[in-house]
Amino acid sequence: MKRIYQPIKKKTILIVDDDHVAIQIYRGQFQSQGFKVEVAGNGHGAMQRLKNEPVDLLILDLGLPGINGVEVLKNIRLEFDTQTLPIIALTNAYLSHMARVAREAGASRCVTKAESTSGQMLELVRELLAVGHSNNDGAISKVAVDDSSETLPVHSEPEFQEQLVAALLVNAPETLAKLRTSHLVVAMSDQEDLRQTELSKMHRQVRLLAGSAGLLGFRKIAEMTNSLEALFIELQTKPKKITPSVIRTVAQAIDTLAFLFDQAAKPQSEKSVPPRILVVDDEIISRETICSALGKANLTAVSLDDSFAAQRLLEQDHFDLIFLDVEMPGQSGLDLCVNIREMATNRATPVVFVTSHSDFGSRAQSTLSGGNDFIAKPFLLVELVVKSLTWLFKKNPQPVSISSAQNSAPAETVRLESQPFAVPAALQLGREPSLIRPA
Amino acid sequence: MQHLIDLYLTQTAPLLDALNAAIQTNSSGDVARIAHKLVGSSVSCGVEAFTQPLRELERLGREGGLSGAGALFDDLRQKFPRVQSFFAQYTQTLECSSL
Repeated sequence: MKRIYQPIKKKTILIVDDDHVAIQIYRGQFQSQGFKVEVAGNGHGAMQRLKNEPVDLLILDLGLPGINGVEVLKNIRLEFDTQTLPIIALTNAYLSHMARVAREAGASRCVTKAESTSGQMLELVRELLAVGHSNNDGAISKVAVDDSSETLPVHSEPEFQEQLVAALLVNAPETLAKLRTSHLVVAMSDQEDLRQTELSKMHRQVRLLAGSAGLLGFRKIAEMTNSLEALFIELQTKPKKITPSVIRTVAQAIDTLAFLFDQAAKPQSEKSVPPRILVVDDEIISRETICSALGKANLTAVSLDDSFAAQRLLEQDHFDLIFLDVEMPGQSGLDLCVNIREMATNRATPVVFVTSHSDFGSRAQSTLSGGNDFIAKPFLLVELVVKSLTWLFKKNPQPVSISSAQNSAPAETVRLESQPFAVPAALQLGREPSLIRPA
Repeated sequence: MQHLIDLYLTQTAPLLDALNAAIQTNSSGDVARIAHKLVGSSVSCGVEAFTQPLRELERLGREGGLSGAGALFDDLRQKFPRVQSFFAQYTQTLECSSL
C-alpha cells in the first residue's frame, strides 16, 4: 500500500541557553522527533527572535550568567501575546526560591537541567504541546523531513552521546584548571569586584558542567556541579558569605570533581545506595539546620543530641559521613571523634566538625582528634550540601592518624586531604595560623 | 525555614529567662551552659546581634566570675523584641512569596 505523507508545519521550539552541549543534546533529540529547533544565546536574542515570528514552545535557562532569567521571562509574558505559550524554565535544584519566582513570573514548568535527561525533556515538551506520541497527531511526525539548513545533522543517539561524552572528558582538565585559577583569585584577593568577576567565571564553568553531566548521565558530577552552581549564585548575591570555610569547601569540591572526572573516564556502574549520615549536636536548631541542608540534596540523616548515644550507635553501625558538634555536654565531639577512630565500624568514616567562626582553637583540635574537616557556622545551606557531597563522593577517605597528627603536623601544614594545589595555610584554618599551632 | 524560625523563637524566650535566673543566683556553670546553647542557635539563625554578648556571658560563666553579666543580659533582653519583630516580618515575606 502506498503511503501518503501529509505536509505538516513543524512545531518550533526556541531554546534560550548558552550551554552548547545541552543545546546539541536537546537539538538532536527534538529534531529526531520532527521538531524545528532554534537557539538564542541570551535573553536579548530571545526577545528579538520572538518579535519576528511566534514559536510553539520556549525553553529558557534561568541561570544564564549576566542576565536575570526571571526578568526575561516576565518580559516575554508582558511584551508578546504569549499567554498560551508553554515555557519550560531550567532551574537549579538547590535554589528552590528561583523555581518559585519563575512560576510566579509565568513559567509553565520548572525543570532541573542537571537532573533531567533529554528523553524526559522530550516527554515534557510533548506533554505541554499536548501532541502525544502519535505520528499523525499534530505536527510531530517521524516521517517529516527536516529541511532546516541551519540545523546540525542528527546523529544516531549512541554515536552522538559518545562524541559528547568524549568532549566533556577531554575538556574537563582545562575546565578544572580554570576553576582552580579563579578559586585562588577569590581566596587571595581582597578586591570585591575581582572576586565577583572570578565567581561569575566559576559559576559559568560549573553551570556548563552541570548541564552536560546531567544530560549525559554522570550523576555524581551533575550533583556536585549543580550544588556548586547554587553556592556560587548565593555568594555572588551575598559576598559577605565568602568566608575561609567557604573557600576551603570550594577547594575541596574542585578536588572531588577532578576525582569524579577521573572515575568517569573508566567504565563502571555507579551504585545508588543511599548514604548513611549521622548528625550529632546537642543544640536542636543546629541539628535541624544540618538536616534541612541535607534534605536539599535528598539526603537523610540520623540525628542525635547525645554524644554517648551516638558512640553506642557508631560502635554497631557503619555510617558514610558524620557531622559532629565540638562542644557537647558529657562527652565533647572531639573526644567522640577520638573514640570513632578506634571503632572498626567507622575508623575511616569522614568526620566533619561543625564549628563557629571564632573557634580557631577548636578547629586545630578537630584535626588532632582525627576529624577530616570542619564547616563554620553560620553556613549557607548549600555550602553544607557541597561539603557533604564532597565527602560522600570521595573514594575511601583515609582515616586521620591521631598520633601522627599530634606529633608531626605543624599548624601551617595541617593539610587538606587530596589537595593537588596549594592553598595558603591561613585559608585552610582561618586567617590566623598562629592561633592554631598545637601546644 | 519557617520551622527553624519558630523553633528559635520558641526556645530562646525561656532560655533567656533561665539565663537571667542563673545570673541572679550567681550560678556561673548554668550561665556558661545556657549562653553556649543560645550562641549555637543564634549563630545558626544568623542573629549576629546576640552572638557577641552571649559569647562574653559564656566566657564569664566558664571563668566563674559574673561581673558585668547583668549588663550583658540587659543588652540581650532589649534586643530580643527586635529579633522577634524581624522574624515576624521575614515570615510574612516567606508566606507571601509562597502564595
